[in-house]
Order: sequence, then structure tokens, then C-alpha cells
Amino acid sequence: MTCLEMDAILSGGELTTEARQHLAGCPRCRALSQALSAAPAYKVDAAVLDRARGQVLQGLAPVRPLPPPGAFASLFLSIAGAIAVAAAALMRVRGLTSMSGSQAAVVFGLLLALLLGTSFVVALDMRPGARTVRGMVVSLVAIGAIEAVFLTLFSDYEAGRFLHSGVACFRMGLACAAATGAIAWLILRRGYVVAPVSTGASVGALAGLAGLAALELHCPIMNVPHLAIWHAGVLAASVAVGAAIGVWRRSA
Amino acid sequence: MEAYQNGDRDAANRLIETVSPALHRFFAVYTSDRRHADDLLQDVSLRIHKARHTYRPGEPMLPWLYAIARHVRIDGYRRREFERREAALEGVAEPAAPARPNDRSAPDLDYLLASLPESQREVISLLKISGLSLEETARATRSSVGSVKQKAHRAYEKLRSLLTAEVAS
Repeated sequence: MTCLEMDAILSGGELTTEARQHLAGCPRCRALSQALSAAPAYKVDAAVLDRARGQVLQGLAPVRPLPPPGAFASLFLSIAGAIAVAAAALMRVRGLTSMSGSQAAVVFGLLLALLLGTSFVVALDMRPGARTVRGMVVSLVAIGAIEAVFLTLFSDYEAGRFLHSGVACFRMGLACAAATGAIAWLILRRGYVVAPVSTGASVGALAGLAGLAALELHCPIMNVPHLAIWHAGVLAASVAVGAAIGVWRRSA
Repeated sequence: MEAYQNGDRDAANRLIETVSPALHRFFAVYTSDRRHADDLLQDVSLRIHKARHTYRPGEPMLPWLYAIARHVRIDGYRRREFERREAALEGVAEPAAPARPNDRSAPDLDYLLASLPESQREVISLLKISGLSLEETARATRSSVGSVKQKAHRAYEKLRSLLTAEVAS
């Protein structure tokens, strides 16, 4: 057994005969093992315990545990979907009809998958100690996947009225994202967020994807520069705003 | 924990008595000021109470508990840094760092942990003092098991070197 394998034992593995032999023969690992197991008994002052107990017992009332993450994920997904469809319906659904069948299948399939994944991450973030994914990872994956699809699936690189139509799309996308983000943040308050910046980025990604979905349904412009900058920009901007709100909440 | 969620006073009492020493010890690893650890314990008790509905019956409790405690510790650290800067501006002395124990026969765990970077110290204190498993530590710190293993390995290597140097001197 090597010192590296001994690390796994020190981190909670079973002390096997091999490990005991290694400890007997390796002074470095022996010293480390002894140092780490030399934790003395620990006591808290009775007055401190009493104060803690008083705080808890004072406001003790039955509470209902949060519904499972799946329920919240479905709620987040429904809200994002409903806002995207409602916004596109209000502005006329012209994007969907401008795409070919395969383009529509890939774009909306990816959006649905990303919305589902992000909804789950946000739902898991409502519980401390849940097995979750960092908001920045979720956001980077979403932005990367969307950009990759736009760059590979569409071939028209004509800029057209890049700024004029782009700003209009960006504003519409951000409006949808703001509505989704605000509702998601209100629901999130039912849980307990331990990493506001990461969760803020995840909520931003969810909101941005809702805004992006609305744009894909509504916008008939299929130019790569327009899609890659203005449509995907809604997602990136939402993530940035979500993370910034998280930073503000953390320091508040 | 489920009885506590149902409003059982005895269960709440038992929970406080069981987890308080471990949580206080978790905070004490990061501060030489025992009163600060006392304050953090008060804070975490209140937050556990407020967040008790977020615990899911049947799930492991330690990651839930230590994720909240870690959040409280980070908040407390930020608050203390702010106070320290204010105190420095006003010329008030800072509390002393953990001192090397006089008894040099036994290595002092707090002294050893103080030599580690923040993230490695956190992982070692959760694994070796709080008694969490690798998976539970990963959940409490919002990282992967691989990342926890890597931090633990680096910490062990550093501690080995430190202990070897101590023996040599």
C-alpha cells in the first residue's frame, strides 16, 4: 500500500490489515494518522446551549417539509414555458415557421432539455446539502450548447439590420427573462439558499432560456450573427444579472 | 429531525444537545476567539430552526446541517472581516492567531489545521472532526467527491511535510 492509497483510508475508509502494516512501516503516515485522531473531547458552555435552546423552543411550531425537487422543477419549467409561449403568441409566432423541421426539432429540443436541467438545479438549490451543480457550470453549458447549435445549424451570415432588429429582440427576450426570473425568485424564497451567487446564476440561466425560447418562437430572422449575439446574448445577460443579484443578496 | 419538524419540544431539545458541540467545534477550527464560535452557534441554531422545513425526511441529515453551518461560517467570516477592517481603522488590536501549544509531545490538531488553506482546512475538519463521509462532505460543500478527495490528498501531503519537519527540528 502507498501513502496515496492511505489517504483514502484516512478520509473514512476501512483500516485494513494492509493499511495497518503500512502505518507500522511509514513514519509519515503514522504521524499524520495520530495527529488527525488526536481530537480531544469537546464541550460547549451550558449558558451558550441554553441560549440556543431558547431561540429554537421559543418559536417551535410544526412545519410541512418542502415538496420534492421534482415538483418544484415542474413548476419552474411550467412557468418558463408559459411565459415564453405567451410572449411569442402576443408578438406572433413567426420564428417557428421560418425554421426547417430539423432546425426546429434541434433548437426546441435543446431548449426543452436545458430548461428541464436548469429547473432541476434551481429546485435542488432550495435545499441545503442537496447534490446539485454549480450555477456557473449550468450557465456555461447552456450558453455553449446554444451557441454551438446556432453556429452549426444555421448558415446565413448576412448581418442585415444587425443593430436595429437585434436590440428589439434583446429587449423582448430580457422582458420575458425578467418576468420568469422574478417569479422563480419568489418561489425560491420558500427554500433556504446557501449559495446565493451560484443559485442566482442558475435562476438567471432559467430566466434567460425562457427569454430565448420566446425569441425562437417569435423572431423570423435566421442570420447567424443575429442569433449568436442577440438571442444568445439574452441568456448571457440573464446569467450575469442573476449572479449579480446573488452577490447583492449575499452582502445584504 | 422529523419529530422536530412536527413541533416536538423534546426532539428539538435532543437535536440541539446532540449537534451543538459538533457545530461549535466546526466553527472553533476557524477562530481562536471562543466567543465568536458561541455567536456562530447561536446564529446557526436560529437558521436551522428557520430552515427546518427544507430538510427532507429520509435524506442524510449531516450534509443538510453542515451546509447551513458552512453558510453561517462564511457569513460570519465576511462580517468579521468587515469589523476587523473597521477596528484597524480605529486602532483596536486584533485577537491573536492560534498559538503553538507548549506541550510539544502531542501534535495539536487546531494548530496543524491552521497551517492549511481555507478550502483544505474545511474538508479536513468535516472529514476528521465532524465525521462526515466523502459523499456527505461533497454535498455540504457543494462540490464533487473527486474535488473533496483531491483537497484531502493535498492537505494530507502538507500535514505530512509539516509533521516530518517538526520531528526533524
